[in-house]
This record gives sequence, C-alpha cells and structure tokens, in this order.
Amino acid sequence: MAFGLELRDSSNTVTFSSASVTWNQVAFFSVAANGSASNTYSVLSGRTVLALQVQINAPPLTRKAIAHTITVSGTTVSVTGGSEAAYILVLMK
Amino acid sequence: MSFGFLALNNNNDVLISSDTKNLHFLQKRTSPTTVSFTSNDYGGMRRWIYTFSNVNTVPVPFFSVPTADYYAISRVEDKGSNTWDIEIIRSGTSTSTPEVYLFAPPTAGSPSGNHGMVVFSADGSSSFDSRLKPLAITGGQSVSHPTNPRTSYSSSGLNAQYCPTNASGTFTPTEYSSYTINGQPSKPIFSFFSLAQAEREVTVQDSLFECDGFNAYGACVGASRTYYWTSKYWAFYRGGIRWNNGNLRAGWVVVEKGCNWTYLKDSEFLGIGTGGDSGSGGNWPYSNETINTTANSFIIANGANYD
Repeated sequence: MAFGLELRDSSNTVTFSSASVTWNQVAFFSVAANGSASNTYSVLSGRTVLALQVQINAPPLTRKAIAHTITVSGTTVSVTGGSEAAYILVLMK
Repeated sequence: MSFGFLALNNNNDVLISSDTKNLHFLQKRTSPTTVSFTSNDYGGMRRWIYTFSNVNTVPVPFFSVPTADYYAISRVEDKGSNTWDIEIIRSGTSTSTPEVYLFAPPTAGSPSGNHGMVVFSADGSSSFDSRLKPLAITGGQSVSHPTNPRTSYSSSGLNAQYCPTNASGTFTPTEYSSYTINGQPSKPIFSFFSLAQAEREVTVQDSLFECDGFNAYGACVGASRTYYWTSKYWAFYRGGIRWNNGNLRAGWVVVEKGCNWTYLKDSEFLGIGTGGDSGSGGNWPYSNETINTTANSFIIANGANYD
C-alpha cells in the first residue's frame, strides 16, 4: 500500500487495514422497564451512529413487550417508551 | 481530538479511536449449551441457550447461519459471576445449530504475544488491540418485517371442541421482506436482535342441540339444551432474518403457540381449559397485533476471520 494503515499478525497476514470497515463501541448501557435515558457523547459529532437494543428478558406472554424508541440527535442518544428492560449498544463509525 | 489516536478508513469512517472502543473477538461456541425448546410444527421452532463464562462486560453476539432458516438473538442475560446466556431462535427443522461468536471491548480479552499494535484510552485502558482480532464489518442495514406473518389464517380443519387440532397449517409463517446484499463472505455471521413480534389467533365455535322429548315440525317438545364449544388457537411470532447467497429475508419465527377452550351448556359455564398442544399454559400476550417492526438492524462480519 502507498498510504494508510495496515496491521499484520506475526505470520505477516494483514488483519486490519484502511480498507476495513467497523463499528466502534461508544457505550453500552441498560434501560429499565418503562424507563428512559438520555446520554450525550461528544465523540458522535459528525459520525454515523447505529444504536441496537436487545431485550434482557424473553417477551412475556402476559403483556405486550414494547421496544424502546431510540433517537439520535446530534451527539445525544435518547431512549424512551419501552415496556421491557433492555441493553442499548451505541456504535459509530 | 487534542491527544490520542484516530485512524480513518478509506471511506473516512472511524477505524480506530482512543475515544471509543473497538470490538474484538472474545469467544466462540460451536453448539448450544441448552436446548430450550424444539418443535417441528408451525414451520419449525428452536430455542437454544449458549452459555459463556469469563466475560466481564456486556458482549455483542454474532451467529452463523448454517441453514436457510430464520435466525435471531432473542435474549442476552447476565447470569452473574461473569457468565452470560445468549438465546438464539430459529425456524425450520434442521438438526444443524449455529455457532455463536462474542465480541467485546479489548479490556474483556486476554491478549498474548508482543507483536501488534495497542491503542490506549485516556483512562489507560486499551481501546484497540490487534492481538485480539478486532471486529471488521462486511455489511449491515435496517430491515422491516412484514405486518402479517401470513396473508390469511384459515379456520378450516380446526376443531372447536377442547382444542384437539394441531394448527400448524393455519399459523406457519409465509411472509417476508426481501433484500439483496452483495459482496458478503462465504461464511457470514450476523448480529441481529429480534424486536419485532406478532400474535395471531383463530377462533372456532361448535354447538350441539339435545332434545329429550320429541321433534315436532322442527321444534323440540319437552326438555332440551344446547352445548357450545369455543376454541381459540393462537401463535406468537418473533422477527428473524434468513440468509441465502446474497438474499436476506426478514420474516417470522413461531416461538410459542397454544389454544384455549370454553364449554357452555345454554348459558351455564361448564369448563375452561387449554389444549394439549399449548406450550405456555394457554396464555397469549395480545390479540392479532404486530409490534416493534421499526428499527430492526443487523450487522455482518466474516466468521472465517474468527474461526
């Protein structure tokens, strides 16, 4: 390569380079059932953000398991409206 | 940044940053620790638990797709003592099971060797460590599951008396949204958390008229009674994704099903119960609704890089 970053392992195989794509973890936090959260991460400025959520418990068969709504506005990630406890994973690239 | 390390890739996206944490390969399990549920009806249902120990942070799971069935991560549970349960659901009847890979920030791993590059955060912890196989993404996007798991739900063949029917033919999911995703590796692994859910139910009724006297011109002369049976068959679906050589489908997996019945004589209540086919005690979460179909995203990596 003429420029860029290239990482090789001990056997000289390229393991990571400027041609790679990844999502970097900014935060991983939990939100309680019927709870909400709003967190600001300055590192998100100008970046593409992906927020994933996974419900901690299996959906109950006695009520609706409404997922949280996640909104990203600038550098703030807001989570609200879900009926179940969930993990929120904030990624950026 | 005023200090630290930042590497951008050819698309000007962040590759490594001392302000964030790269995800790194942590562990892999080739088969489930526990089989939670298995049925070959309703399009096939599987629920597996993969238990991982020595994981000191919240992991990000990926799964392989050895068959062209619908898969999803349905639950991530902290069991305490650095042990985590990852629940995977799948449609279909194959005996093949997916491999599950865990990724986490490098502080959760145990790097070895002196060859490579480490980037440290301002607090002194590592944010990137090439010795731990950093996660490289090959694709990903949002998907929307179709509103209806099937286009129609027929009551044909369903018996109303005490839920005796296997309703697989009524509820097996058929609908999906299709996406073409090119340029993926031969062994893609997916991180997809199931959020979409749906419930559908079909109610069937039957009655029997008994006359103790005699029938005169269509009317019963003497004592009579009417028996009424009602059976409500239902299925509970969760969203999954199916991969087949560049074609990705967002569809449905039946994860629970059941049937409730009631039995009355005239207006007198004689009984209530569930059919032998009810796997959850007969309860259903809501009636004929589909929820959580927005913001279902997945990401893809090359599983061969971490085998």
